[in-house]
Order: sequence, then structure tokens, then C-alpha cells
Amino acid sequence: MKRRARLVCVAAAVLALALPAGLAGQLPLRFALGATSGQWHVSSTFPGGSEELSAPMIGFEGVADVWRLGLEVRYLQANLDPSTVSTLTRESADLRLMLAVRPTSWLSVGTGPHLRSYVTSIGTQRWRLWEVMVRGQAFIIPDLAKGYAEVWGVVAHDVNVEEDWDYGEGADVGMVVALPRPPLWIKLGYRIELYRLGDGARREVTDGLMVSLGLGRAW
Amino acid sequence: MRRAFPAVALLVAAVLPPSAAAQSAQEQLQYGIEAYGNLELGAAVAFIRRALAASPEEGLSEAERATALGYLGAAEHYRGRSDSAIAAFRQMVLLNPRYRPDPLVFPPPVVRVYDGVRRSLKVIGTAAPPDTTIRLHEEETFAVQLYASSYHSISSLIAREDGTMLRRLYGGDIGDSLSLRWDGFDTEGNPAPSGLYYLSVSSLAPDGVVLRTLQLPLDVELARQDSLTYPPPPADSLLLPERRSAGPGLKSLGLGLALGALAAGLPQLVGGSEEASNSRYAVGGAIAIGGIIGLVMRPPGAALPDNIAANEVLMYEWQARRDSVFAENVQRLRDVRLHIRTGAPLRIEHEGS
Repeated sequence: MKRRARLVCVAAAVLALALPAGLAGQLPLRFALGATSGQWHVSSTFPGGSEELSAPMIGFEGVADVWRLGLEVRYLQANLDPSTVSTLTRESADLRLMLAVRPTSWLSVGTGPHLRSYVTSIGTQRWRLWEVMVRGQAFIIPDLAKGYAEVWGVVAHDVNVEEDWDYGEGADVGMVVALPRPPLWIKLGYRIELYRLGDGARREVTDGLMVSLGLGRAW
Repeated sequence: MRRAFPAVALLVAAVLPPSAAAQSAQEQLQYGIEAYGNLELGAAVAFIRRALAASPEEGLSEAERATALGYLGAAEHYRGRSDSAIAAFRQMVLLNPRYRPDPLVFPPPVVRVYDGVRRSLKVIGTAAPPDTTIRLHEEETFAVQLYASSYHSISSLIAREDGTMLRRLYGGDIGDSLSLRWDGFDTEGNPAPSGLYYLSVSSLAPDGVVLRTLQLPLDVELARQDSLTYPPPPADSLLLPERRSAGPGLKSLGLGLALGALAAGLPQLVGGSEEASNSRYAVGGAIAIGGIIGLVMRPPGAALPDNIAANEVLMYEWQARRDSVFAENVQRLRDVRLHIRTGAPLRIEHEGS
């Protein structure tokens, strides 16, 4: 798992570096691809106990825009180590695709699948979610830094756990700093997700700091 | 047979209706001249008087009238009617002081009588262009040539239609001729407005009494180009602000602080405050610092050089247009033209003349 993820990240980085900056600037398309790293923290509460897990995460994210339509992708993985006694290590992989439209320059609305897997020594949990997202963004520093805030909710799910699905939601707030030449961008964000299952019996909170460094036009 | 012709012609003319006689004024003058040549002085006087009596429209021209008066005076002189001769020569001088009896045609006694009459009269004649345009401020003038019957004093001026003086042109003696010039301005140096004026030339007796006045109508039209309207200064809406307003900087600061606070408080909003990590404070702080940087980069009141330069270009272009219009208006103001049409001169005889 680790090896496969590492390969994906390396491939993404190579693709990003291979994108000629001029090509992205001349076409009516916008490409941006970057490597992501950060710290992932999972807090899981269930009947009879709770567990805390955390680990550095690694992955990539990218976007391809055609005028007001954009396709966003993000992949993250982490080997979550327990910080509490008597819990299992989780190998987590998270992939999200989002098809978004921008009705205005500061607003994006999108929807898409969100796949997550937890691999432990006793089995694998596969979460297949369908999310709806709303994002607002505006310049904090003109032509240099944009702030954004994003919220999403789960509208459909397919989760292979015993508990019934209650709901899932999340938010992301951060800032993107971009340089025009070379077209580099850095993204700093804080992300939090909340899932409830089993009529409130199980509660999963995932949050963390994410830093991405990428190539391409950030906006 | 030849001698009988004028007499027959006179007889025929006497029985013809006046209109038929008037239509042949030139013929009658010719008959009169022929009668004078044949020493039929009575017939000559009759023919010439009939020719002179014709209406101005159907009668003799000015030169023909002068010729007729010359022959009439000579005929009367040889008939022994000196008063009539003097009266004819007087009319001849009044008609135009430049006309003289031809000494090759008339004997010296006749010429002497005419010269005596001419010397005794103080008459002015004019020669003026019928249609003249002069440009004021360019030292162009409207010129009228005056001819005098004899040496005397005159007073000339441009008078308005109501008789008031617009400009005095000359006061002094005239010998044979004099050129009067008018530059188109009134006494105060203003261009004469459009209207009807008179060039009035008064002949004066030695004691200063006005003997007669010659009035030459002047139809004056002042042509002045309209000045151009100055271009208005650029509207405020076209001028860019030269100082940065507080809005953009404060907007950056507000957005940064709001998003920073949102990041820090996000777990409370989502519902995971107890489990959330502290990394959100780092993110929130970074965004807030970004907002502060945004404010610092766009401080309120800071000069905007690009806008200042753009405004300067706009103002320079407007100033250039204004200067161009100003120069054009100065040119137009100087380019004042006076169109002068002259009419038929009118002579006014005063008492004692």
C-alpha cells in the first residue's frame, strides 16, 4: 500500500513538472497539480471506548478548469498510528473527485464521489460517499493570495460497517499563495470532517493541517 | 439736303409721342450734335434738351449726359444765352467734376466759360469699388477716390443710417483728387457692425459753411467666424483615484481576520470541538497575517502612481485640445472681414450753394 501510494505521488509530481507553464497560459484551460503533505488526526468514539490516531499524510491534488467548469481531484494517504492504548493501526487512503462549476468568480459549487478506506489487521472498511460542496474564495492580497472557505455534506453513502449511517459533513478553510512566474502555488488549509454512524453511537472526527506545493495557475 | 435733316428730324420728334421720343434719346443727342455742327443751334438745343429730359432708365448714360451738357452749353453760349450756358456747364460739373469739354471739339471761348463755372463750384465726385471685402486687423482698407471740381475744403466721415457719426475720415483741403481710406473701425476702434452707412463728403465754403454734401451709401456686412467652444475638462468619472481608499486594504484585513477566526472556530461549527487538533490555530493565524499583509500592501491614502500617470495623460490631452481651440479662436477673432457694397451717390445741395 505504501509503495503504491508513493508511486502515485511521484507520478503526479512528474506530471506537474512536465506541464509547460506557457501551455497552461495560452490555452483556455487551467491546470494545477501539486503535492500535499500535512498532519492527519482522527478521533473515533464508539460504544465502550474511543481512540485517537494521528500521522503525517501525503498525497496530491489537482484541478483542470475549462472556463467555469472544473474537475478537482485529491488523494491523501496516511498510516495512522494510535496514540491511545489497545487500538489498531489504520492504513488510510482517501480519494475525492469533485466536478465544480463557478457561477461567479468567488463561488464554486460542486459534487462528486469521495472514497476512503481503512485497512487494519482485522479487516478493511470501505467508505463510498457522494458529497455536495460549496466554496467561496476571495483575494486577501491582490493577485498574490486568496482565502477560501468550503463546506460539504454527504448526500449518499455506501459504507461496509455494521453501524447504520447517520450523516457526514465537513469544512475546509485556508489560503492559496500563488506566484505568476514561475506558476507556483502554495496552499495552506485546515480541514475537518465529522461522520456519525449507528444512530450517534459511533463518531469519527478527522481533521488536520494540509500544505500543498504545486505548479500551474492557481486561479 | 444734309442741313435739312435735323430740322425734319426735329419736326418728326415734335409730333411723336413722348415715350417714342424718350426711347431714342441717344438718337436725339446725335441729331443735336449734328445740328450743332451745322450751326443750327436752336435745333441742337431742342434735340439735346429732349435727350436730357428722357427718364434715367431709358435715357442717356452719365458720359452721354456729360457730352450732351457740353454741347448744350456751347450751343447756348453761341446763341448768346450765357445764363443757360452757365447752367448747362454747372450741371455738367455737378454731374462729375472730372468731365471736361473736349478742346479739340469746342473752341477756347467755350472751354473758358466752362472752366470759369468749374472753378466757381465746389463739387466732389467719387469713384468707389462696387463690392469690396477688407480684413480687419490686417491693415486692409476700403478706398474711395475723391475728385474735386476746384480747390476747396472738405470734411468727410462715415455716418450711420440715423446720421450719427461713426468715424471721421478726413477734414482739410482737396486739390484735384484725394484718396480716402477707411479701415472698418469706428472712432473707438471697434469693428463697424453690419448695417447701412454713408460715406459723407461735405464741400465747405471758405467760411466753413457746408455748400453741398455727397453721400455714398455703404451696405456693410461684418463677417466674423464663431468662436469654438472650449472642450470641457474630463469628467470626474473618467479620472482615476490618485490615492488609495481605505476600502481595499480594510477588505483584505477583514477577510483575513474573518477566515482566520473561521479556521480557529471551525470545529465548533462542524461539531467536533472536543476532538479537533490545534493545527487549526496555525492555519487561522497564517490567514490573519495574510490579511494584515494585504492591508499593509494597500495602505489607505497611498499614492497610486499608475492612476496619477493616467490622469496626467488625460489632463494633458484635454489641455492640448483646449490650447488648440484657444489658438483657433484667437485666429478667428482676428479674422474679421467687412464686406462693403456701395450704392449710387446722392448729392445734397445746402442753402447758399
